[in-house]
Amino acid sequence: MTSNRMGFNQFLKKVAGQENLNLIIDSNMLIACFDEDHSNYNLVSDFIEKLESCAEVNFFTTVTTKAEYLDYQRRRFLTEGIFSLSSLSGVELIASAKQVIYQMKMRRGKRLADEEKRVGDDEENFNTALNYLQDSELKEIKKSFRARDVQNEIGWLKVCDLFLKKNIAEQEALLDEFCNYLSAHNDFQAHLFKNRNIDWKRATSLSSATGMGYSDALILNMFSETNLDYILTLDYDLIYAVSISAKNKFVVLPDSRLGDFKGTLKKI
Amino acid sequence: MEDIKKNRRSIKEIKKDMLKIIKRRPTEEELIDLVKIINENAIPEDEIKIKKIAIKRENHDIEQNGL
Repeated sequence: MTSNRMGFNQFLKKVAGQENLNLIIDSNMLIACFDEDHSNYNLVSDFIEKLESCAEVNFFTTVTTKAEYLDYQRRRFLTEGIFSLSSLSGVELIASAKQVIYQMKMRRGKRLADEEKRVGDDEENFNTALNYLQDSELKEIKKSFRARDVQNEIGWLKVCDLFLKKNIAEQEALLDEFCNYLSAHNDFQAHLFKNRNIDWKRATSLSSATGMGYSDALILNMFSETNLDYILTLDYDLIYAVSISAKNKFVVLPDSRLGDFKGTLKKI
Repeated sequence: MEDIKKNRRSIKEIKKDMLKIIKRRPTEEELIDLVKIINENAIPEDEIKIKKIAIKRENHDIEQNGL
C-alpha cells in the first residue's frame, strides 16, 4: 500500500490548475503562516502562496483550530506586552511584580536555551511557542499585581485592554476572512459532508487509538466525516494519526518531514 | 456554495495585515500610564506585611489556646 503522506512539492504538482480545491488547514500551519518569528514561517507561507497561485483553493478549518490560533496569539501579545513593562524609564513597576516578571524572563531564557540544544541544526523543528508565557506563568504575574479582589483588578484588566483587546479582535477578523469553518449544521456546506450526524464520541476513540491530543482528534474526526481529501499540518501526532486512522485521505506536510515517518510508519 | 468565501483577498494581503497587527506596539506613554494604574491598584507592601503578621498571630493563638 502506498503512503497517504504527501510533501508540499508533490502536492503542488498534483493540484496545479485545480478549481475549487477544498482542503483542511491545521492550527500550526496557520500560526506559522502568519508569524514572521515562527521557525516554519518561510516554509509555510511560501507554500501557501504557491498553492494559491497554482490552484483555486478554499481553506477549511474548525472552530477548535481557530481557538488554538487565537490562544497562541493571546499568549504572545501578553508575554511581549508584560515583558515591556519592566524596562521603562521614568516609572518603576511595584517590586513584587517586577520580581516575578524577572523570574519569568529567566525561565523563558532557560527553556529557549534547552530547546536550541534539543533541535541543534534542525532549526525548523524549533518550538516557537516556547517564547511565550504559559497560562500558569501568566497567572503568577497576574497575582503579583496584588489586586485586593476581582472587582479591583483594574491593573490586569488594563493590561488585557492595552495588549489584547484590539489585536485579538482584528486577528480574528482576518482569520475569518481567510478560512471557512466547517459545520455539519450549515446547509450551504451539506455537499462537503459524507455524514452530517457527526459522532463526536469517535474523537475519543481516535484520541485513544494513537494517543493524540483531543483537539487534534476533533479535527481528524471532522476531516473523516467530510468529502475533503487533504489536510495540511505540521503536527507529528496528526500526521501519524491520519496515517493510521484515515487511510483513504491524504496528509500534506513539509518535504523535509517526510523522512521522519519512514521508520515509524514503515509500509503504512 | 454561497457560504464558502470565493472573493477573499489573497494570502499575501491578509498576511500583510496580520503582520502589521503583530508588530504594533503601545506608545511609551501608554505603557507608563499602565504601570501607574497597576501600582495604584496594588495592595501596598505594608498592608501585606501587616496581614501576614495578623495571620501568623492568629495561627499562633489557635496552636496555643485552641481558639
